Amino acid sequence: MIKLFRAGLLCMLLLCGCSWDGTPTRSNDITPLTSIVITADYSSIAAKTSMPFKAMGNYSGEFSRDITDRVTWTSDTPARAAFNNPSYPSRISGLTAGAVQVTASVGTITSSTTVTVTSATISLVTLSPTTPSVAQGLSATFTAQGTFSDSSHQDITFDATWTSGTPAVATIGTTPAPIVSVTSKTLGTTQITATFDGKSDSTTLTVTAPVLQSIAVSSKNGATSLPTMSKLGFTASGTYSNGVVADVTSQVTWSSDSSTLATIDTTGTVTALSPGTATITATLGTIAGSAPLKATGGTLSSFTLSPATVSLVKNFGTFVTATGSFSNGTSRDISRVLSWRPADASFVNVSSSSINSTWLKPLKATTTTSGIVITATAPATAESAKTATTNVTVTDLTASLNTVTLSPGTVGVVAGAGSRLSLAANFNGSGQDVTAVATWSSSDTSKVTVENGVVFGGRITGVTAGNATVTASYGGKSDTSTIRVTAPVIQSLTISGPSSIVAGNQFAYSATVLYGDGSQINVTDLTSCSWSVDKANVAVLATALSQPGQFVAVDVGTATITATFGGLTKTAAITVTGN
Amino acid sequence: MRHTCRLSILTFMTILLFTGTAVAQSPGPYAGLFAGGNVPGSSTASDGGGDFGISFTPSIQGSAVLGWNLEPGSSVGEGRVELEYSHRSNRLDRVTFVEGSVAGGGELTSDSLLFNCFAVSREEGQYHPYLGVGAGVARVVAANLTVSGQPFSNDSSIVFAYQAGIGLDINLTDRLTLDLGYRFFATSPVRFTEASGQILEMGYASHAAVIGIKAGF
Repeated sequence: MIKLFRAGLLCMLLLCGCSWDGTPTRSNDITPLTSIVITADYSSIAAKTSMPFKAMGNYSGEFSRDITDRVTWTSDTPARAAFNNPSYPSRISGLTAGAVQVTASVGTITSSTTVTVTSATISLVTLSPTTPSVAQGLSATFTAQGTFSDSSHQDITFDATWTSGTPAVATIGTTPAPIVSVTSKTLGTTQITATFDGKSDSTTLTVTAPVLQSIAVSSKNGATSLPTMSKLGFTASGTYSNGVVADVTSQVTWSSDSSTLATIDTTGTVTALSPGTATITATLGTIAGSAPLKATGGTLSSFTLSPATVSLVKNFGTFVTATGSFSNGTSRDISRVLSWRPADASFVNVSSSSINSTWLKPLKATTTTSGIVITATAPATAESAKTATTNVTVTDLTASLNTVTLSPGTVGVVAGAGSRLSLAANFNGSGQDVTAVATWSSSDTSKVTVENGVVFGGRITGVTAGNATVTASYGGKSDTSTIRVTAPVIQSLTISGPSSIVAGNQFAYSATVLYGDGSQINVTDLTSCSWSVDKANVAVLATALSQPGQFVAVDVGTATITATFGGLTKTAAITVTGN
Repeated sequence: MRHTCRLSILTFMTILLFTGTAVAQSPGPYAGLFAGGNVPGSSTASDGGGDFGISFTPSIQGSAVLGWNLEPGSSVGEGRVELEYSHRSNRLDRVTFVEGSVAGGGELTSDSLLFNCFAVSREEGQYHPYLGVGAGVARVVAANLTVSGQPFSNDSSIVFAYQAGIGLDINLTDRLTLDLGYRFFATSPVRFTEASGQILEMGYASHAAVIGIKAGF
């Protein structure tokens, strides 16, 4: 009961706080207008000039409001001074010398004042500013002051005639107070002239180079979310005063408001570190633009390198990949964000690439059985940086190369699809895969193509029906494989993979083609099979290059995965969930 | 408003200090009369012209209740149920528009009929704290409301009403109980027709500190 009583008391206190503290949006049209106060810049004006009046309404002494546009303006002697400009009903024009009574009225409430029209004539027109300049695309404002024969001064900006000597550089605007609008795309100068009743004044307006007005920041793939321990490039677009939008990515200074959530380098590449939302800012001079970036997928708990130990023959490299385990139970490849440090760089060269793997190239034979320790270090988060190691032993068997063997010796592929060949080297009985460093060629590239390089070396693709010979060479030795290309009709394309995945996990899709001859081929990693995902905030390609069909779940949502092969397209929905 | 609550609680505590020995409260029917002061909350109002603020002056209020004290250990719980009629009337104080606040006039009156359920602590002793809620209907009358002396609205509306209450029953005799309480009373949005013909919609809520005497029979 006591607890119930306390809870009730708390509710009461909360209810006590309920009151209106908003901002009113309704104007008061109930309190009656009781009087009008007319104000003007001058009590007398010269003939041929004009002057605006202002009317302030007093509402029962409770408040006052500008009612210039609500009142009806009248002159008791329109032939002397009249409100004769329908576009500016509160502006009176002096016509002939003499006094007039001006009346402002709203219903039965009226107020009057007297204005005198003089016969003074213009003596001097003074234009300001005297040395104007404006950035291309922006506007400059000018005013004209008149000095009259009776030594009086009056603003004649409205009544003067304004011209631009070089309209291609700047033109006169049509707003009540003259505004020179720069419309030309070219820089230059123009003579701005104000003329009143035969008198004039001029000044030179200089149109200077356009200035940066704003910066828009966005990621290269349009995503605003990024899994931790991954990278994403940002771009900065500057909008200049002349309307031109230019890429200023390389000119801006990049910063992140939270170095524990995300860091950004000088090129605009962000590395997400810990879950949370950071603001990425690009600054150029006094102009800055920013964009939020949400880091997802948990905090890195640990990571492992694969392989943990590796024996290499000098000059034959291998890939090492790193798989991170995160606090939310997910795991994914983090190879691209690691920094690598061999214990002795003279033995092994470590090169990171744009793909999710790191290439180890042995330079000379190691001298100990334990080999060389290579340490990979993850970017530091709020916690200390995580590390993992792999041991590399290198032997130099260059002089003992006996044979190389290409396998398989005969391969059947269909046009548009392909397969992989591998080349093994035999060093006095010790085998070594040298596929990545071998030289590959096709006897007839119109039938079969073959790729070189550490990533796709040995990958063949059938072009048209027929036979071709693929040759792989290394160390002066070579071997061949016969490729038979057939061209059956593609019947269908199917893709398979998970329909639901937890954010932060890496997942795989595969694509299979059914041909008219009944054969089925997995085309997931073929060059001719392209993969895409439509919402980068939900899922992204792991890397299109080295991990075709592999994706990383970024943040909660549903995205569509698309695979295209041989003119056929297949889609599948992937739902990314939280954990 | 917080000040009102604190004042009410302080009053309860003071009475606790000066009251006498324990007297049991008898179950069965009871009737009571209450009086108190209420402070309407500043509320938002809107019509075709936009939103604006309305505030009312504090005022006194009166209530009459007819209820039933449940048996101690009753299967439906310990407490009481009652039918309460209340009357409140507050003067329109200020109306706040874009241009600022202006004087209001006229009365906003509400007559409510609520069915209340109060849970009462029936532990040994003379003092029995309670809390509860009620719901029913209210007839809210805009009686010659004015803004800056100009007619604003003269209309009435019947709306859903509810309240929450907390307080302390002090048994004076076995049939007579002094009730010190706080009530938060509110209604669903009230709609009036303005003098201009526009429809005014406003919230209505009030905070009240009440003192009452209840007699069992």
